[in-house]
Amino acid sequence: MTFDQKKWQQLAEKEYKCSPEDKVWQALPQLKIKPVYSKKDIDKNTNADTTPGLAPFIRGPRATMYTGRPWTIRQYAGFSTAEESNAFYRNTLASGGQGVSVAFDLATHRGYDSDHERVIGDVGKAGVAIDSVEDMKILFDGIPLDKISVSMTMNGAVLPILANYIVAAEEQGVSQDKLSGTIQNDILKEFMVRNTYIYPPAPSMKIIGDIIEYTSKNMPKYNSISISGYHMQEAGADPILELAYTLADGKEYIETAIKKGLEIDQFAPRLSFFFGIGMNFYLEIAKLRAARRLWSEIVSEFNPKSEKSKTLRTHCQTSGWSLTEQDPHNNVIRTTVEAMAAVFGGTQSLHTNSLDEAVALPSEFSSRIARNTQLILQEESNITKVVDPWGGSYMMESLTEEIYQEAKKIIKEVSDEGGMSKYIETGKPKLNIEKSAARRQADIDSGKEVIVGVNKYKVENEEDVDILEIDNHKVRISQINRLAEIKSRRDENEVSKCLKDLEEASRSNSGNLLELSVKAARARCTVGEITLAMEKIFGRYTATHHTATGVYKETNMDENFWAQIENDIKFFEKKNGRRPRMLVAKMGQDGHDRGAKVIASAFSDAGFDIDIAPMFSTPKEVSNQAIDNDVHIVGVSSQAAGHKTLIPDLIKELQKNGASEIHVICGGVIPKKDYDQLYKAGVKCIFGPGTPITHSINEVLKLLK
Amino acid sequence: MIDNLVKSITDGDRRSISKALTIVESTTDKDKKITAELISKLFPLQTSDIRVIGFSGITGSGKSSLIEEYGKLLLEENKKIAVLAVDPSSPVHGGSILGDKTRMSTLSNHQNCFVRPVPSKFNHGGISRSTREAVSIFSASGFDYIFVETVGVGQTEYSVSETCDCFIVNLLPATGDELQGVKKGINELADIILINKADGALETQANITVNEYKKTLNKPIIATSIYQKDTVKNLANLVSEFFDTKRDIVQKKRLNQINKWAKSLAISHLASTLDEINLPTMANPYHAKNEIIKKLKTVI
Repeated sequence: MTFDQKKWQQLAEKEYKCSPEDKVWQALPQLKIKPVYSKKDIDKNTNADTTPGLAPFIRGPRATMYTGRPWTIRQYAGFSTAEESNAFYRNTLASGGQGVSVAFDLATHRGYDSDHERVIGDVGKAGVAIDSVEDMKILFDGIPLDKISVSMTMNGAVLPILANYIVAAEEQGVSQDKLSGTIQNDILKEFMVRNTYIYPPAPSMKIIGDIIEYTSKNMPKYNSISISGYHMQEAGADPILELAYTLADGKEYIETAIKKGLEIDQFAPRLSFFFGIGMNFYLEIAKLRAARRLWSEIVSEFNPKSEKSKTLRTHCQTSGWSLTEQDPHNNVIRTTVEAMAAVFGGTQSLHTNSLDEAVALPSEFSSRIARNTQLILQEESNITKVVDPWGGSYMMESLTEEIYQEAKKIIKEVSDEGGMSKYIETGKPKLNIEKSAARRQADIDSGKEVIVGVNKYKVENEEDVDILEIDNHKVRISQINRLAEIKSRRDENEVSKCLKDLEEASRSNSGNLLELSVKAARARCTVGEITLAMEKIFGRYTATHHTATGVYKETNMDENFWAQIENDIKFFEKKNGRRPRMLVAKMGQDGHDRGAKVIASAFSDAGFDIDIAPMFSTPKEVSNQAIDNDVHIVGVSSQAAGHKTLIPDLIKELQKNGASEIHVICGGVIPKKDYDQLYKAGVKCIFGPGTPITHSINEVLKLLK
Repeated sequence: MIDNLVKSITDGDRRSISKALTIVESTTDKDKKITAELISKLFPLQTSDIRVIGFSGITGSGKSSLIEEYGKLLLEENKKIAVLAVDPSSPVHGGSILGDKTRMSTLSNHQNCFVRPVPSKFNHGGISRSTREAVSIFSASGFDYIFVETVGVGQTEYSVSETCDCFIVNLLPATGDELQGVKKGINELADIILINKADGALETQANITVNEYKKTLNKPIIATSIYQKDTVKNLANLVSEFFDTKRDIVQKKRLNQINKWAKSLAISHLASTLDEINLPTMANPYHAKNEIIKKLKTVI
C-alpha cells in the first residue's frame, strides 16, 4: 500500500467538513505546513536520508549521538555574590549537573565595578557581581577547573572576565591549556537585540579577533565564541530569522579570524552555537537540523581540511519568553516540550528554564524541577536510545529542507550587504526582529495564538509561588568593601603600568588585548579599570533606534477596538491641544528592550506620541527627559529586577523637580508581591507579563481622563 | 500668570521652558491666546548673540548623531544648547515615535542642554507649526545655540530656512546619476552643505561627491563623519566663520523672517476668521469672493 493523495483528500474533506486546503497552516509569513506529508514530498530531496556524523550533518554532528553519550545538562545560573553562586554550582554538580554556566550581573556585563554611580540599581541583579580576580576565585572555589567545563555568558566585558577566569585557574594551579568551556563572546547579536555591548562595532570586532587568536594558541580545549540566536528568539525573531542571522554572524566571525591571519582549521572547531527553543515544536527540531547543513556549507566556502571544522555543535536553552507569570506551573510542561524539541533536534547541551523565571531568578525548588526535567528525559524516557529518531520523516525532512532554503535566502541578503557588521549598520536586522515581535504580540492579544492561562483557560484565583528575593543594597555594600580591600593591597605602580599598556595597545591597534588583560587581572586591576583603559580610546557605544510602526495595528485587526481608541484620542487632543505623550524608558544596565519596543510601536499605532529614552539611563536622567519633553506619562519597562529601587527613585526625582503630575506606569518582569510597594511609591498602573497591549492602552487612556 | 511664566523662562527653569513649549504647540484656543501674549513678551528679550542653526536632511542621513557630536564640542566651550527635533507623525494613525534622544544621549542628559522632540503634525510636510515660537522661548531663556532639526522634504527646506540664521543641508554620498542632479533649491537656501557618513566604505565616495558638488555649487561643502572627530571640528569652524563674517546677512535674514512670520500669523488669523463666515450658496465664485471680502472687512 502507498499513499493515495486523491483518496486522502476525499476522506479528509468529509472529516474536516471543508477543503483540506483550508487546513494548511501558515506557520510563518514565508512557511506553510500541510496537514499530511508523504514520500512524494521528499522524492526530489537528496538530503532526506543522510548519515549522522557525516557532512552535511543534518542528522547530528556525531555518528552515535545520545546512544553513546547523552547531551550535557548545563544550567545557567548566577546569584548576586560569588559565595552564593559557588554554593549553588557545587550543589548542582553534586546532584546531577554536568557543567557550570555563569550568569553575571548587569553591572559586570557593561564593564562597571560595583561602586560605579551608574549601576546602583544593577549590582547583583540577574547574576553574579564580579569586580576582580578575587571574586572569580571565590566563584570557583572547590571546583576543579581542569575537570569541570565552564560556560560564561559574557559579551561586553569579555576581556576582563576571560582574563580573570584564566588567572583564577592559574592561582588554583590549573594552567590555561587545560581549561575547557565556552565564553559567549558574540558581540554582533548584542548590537541587534540584547544591547550589552560596551564599545562601538569596529573595536568590538577587533577584540573578538584577539580572543580567537589568543585561545587558538593557548587554550586548545576552550570554545572562544558561542554564536547565539537565543537572544534573537527571545527578542521576537521567528525560528528562520534566528537561524539565518545567527549563521550570518558566524560567517562574519570566520572572516574576522581569517583577516587576523588564522587558518580556518585552527579555530573553526572551537566555534560553538547557542539556539533558543520555543513552543513551535516541529519548526524547532527542523531548525537545528537545517542549521547543521547550512553551517557545514558556509564553512566549506573557506576550504577547511578537517571535517571537524564543518560541524555545528550547539547549546540550547528553552525559551524564557514563552514562560508565563499566570498559572506558572504550566511552565514546567512548556519547558518539557521545548526540551524535547531541543533533544530531537540533536543539541549537545541544554539548559531548561525554571518555572518562576518569568518573574524572578530561580529558587532552589524550581531549579531542581528544571534539572530533573532533563534527567527524566535522559534516564526514564529512553529517548536517547536512537540516533535522530525524526530522520526520514516525510514532514521533518521536508520542513528541514524548506527552512534551510528560506534561511539561505536571508544569509545571502546579508552577504550582499557586505556581511553582518555592515548589515547591522543599516538597522534592518533589528527592525525585522522587532516587526516579528510586534506581529507575534498582536496575534497573542487577539487570541489567534493561544497561551494557556494567559489568553485562554485563565485561572480565577491564582496561588502564589515562592520566589527568590535579592537584597541588592547588601550585595553592593559587600562588593564595595571587597573592592576597597583589593585596592589597598595591590601594587599601584604595576596596576597603572598594566592599564597604560592596554590603553596604548588600543590606541596603536597593536598587541593582543586579551594577553594584556590577563597581565592586568594578575596585577589586580578591576573589571571596571580594564574596561575603562580601552574605553578611553574606543569610546562607549550607544545604539541608535529605529522603531517599527504600523505592524501591531495591521496584525491585530479588531476594528471596534481601534475605532474606540481613535475616538478617545481625538477627544483627548481636542481638550488638551495635543495627543497623549508617553516616554518609554528603560533604566539601569538592563538591555532587554523587546518589551519597550513592542509597547512603543503599539502605542504609537494607537495614536500616542511616543518618546524613547536612551538605553541605560539613570532615574534622574529619565526624569529630566520626561520634563524636557513634557510628557503625560513615563512608561518604564523593567526586565531585570531593578524596579524596586529605580522606579521609586524616578518618582522622587519627578516630584523634586516640580513634575509630580507626570504619571509613572510600569511593566515587565515584576513579581506580584512587589505591586503594593510600587503603588505606594506612586506608580499608577503595573502591567505584568502576558498583559494584552490593547488592555494597557485602554488603562492608560482611562488614567489620562 | 504670564509674567510669572516669562520670568521663570528667562531664569532658565526647565519645567517652565518645557511647559511653554507645550503651550505654543497646543491647538486649543485658550493656549493660542496665551501663546500670543507670551511670545510678544518674550520676543523683546531675545539677544542678538544667539545662533539659530537649521539642520535638514532625509531620514537616515545622520543629522541627530552629528548634532550630538557637534553639541559635545560646544559643551566643552561651556555653551548652552537647545535642540528642537521635528519628527514626522504617521499619516495613518497620527501618532509618532520620537527617537531623537536615543541618538543624542549625551545632549539629552546634560544640564546645559535642552532637547525637545516635536511631532510634525503634517504641517509643511515635516516642520512643526510652532517652530518659530519655540525658537523665541529658547532664545529668551539664555541658550547660546539653537538647533532646529527637520526631515527635509521639498517645501520643508524653505520653511526651516525661514526660521534660522544658518541653514545646513545634510546630504549623503551620492553615486553615478545622483551626482548630476543637485536640487536647485538647496543651492539657493543652504549656507553650508555636508556630505555626511563619510566613513568606511563610503569615505571615498563622499569625497568624490564633495568635489563634484563644488563644481556646480558656490557654497561651503565638506564631508563629515561622526567617527572622524576632525570633520566635526571642521563643521564647527565653518559655522563659526559663517557667523563671524556674515553678520550683515544674518541681520537681513532675521528682519526678513520677522516679516514672513508676521505675514503667516496674519494669514492663519484670516483663515480661521474665514472659517467662521457663513455664506449663502452662490453660483458664481467671483461674486462669492467679493461677498467674503466684504464680510471680512466688517469682521476685522
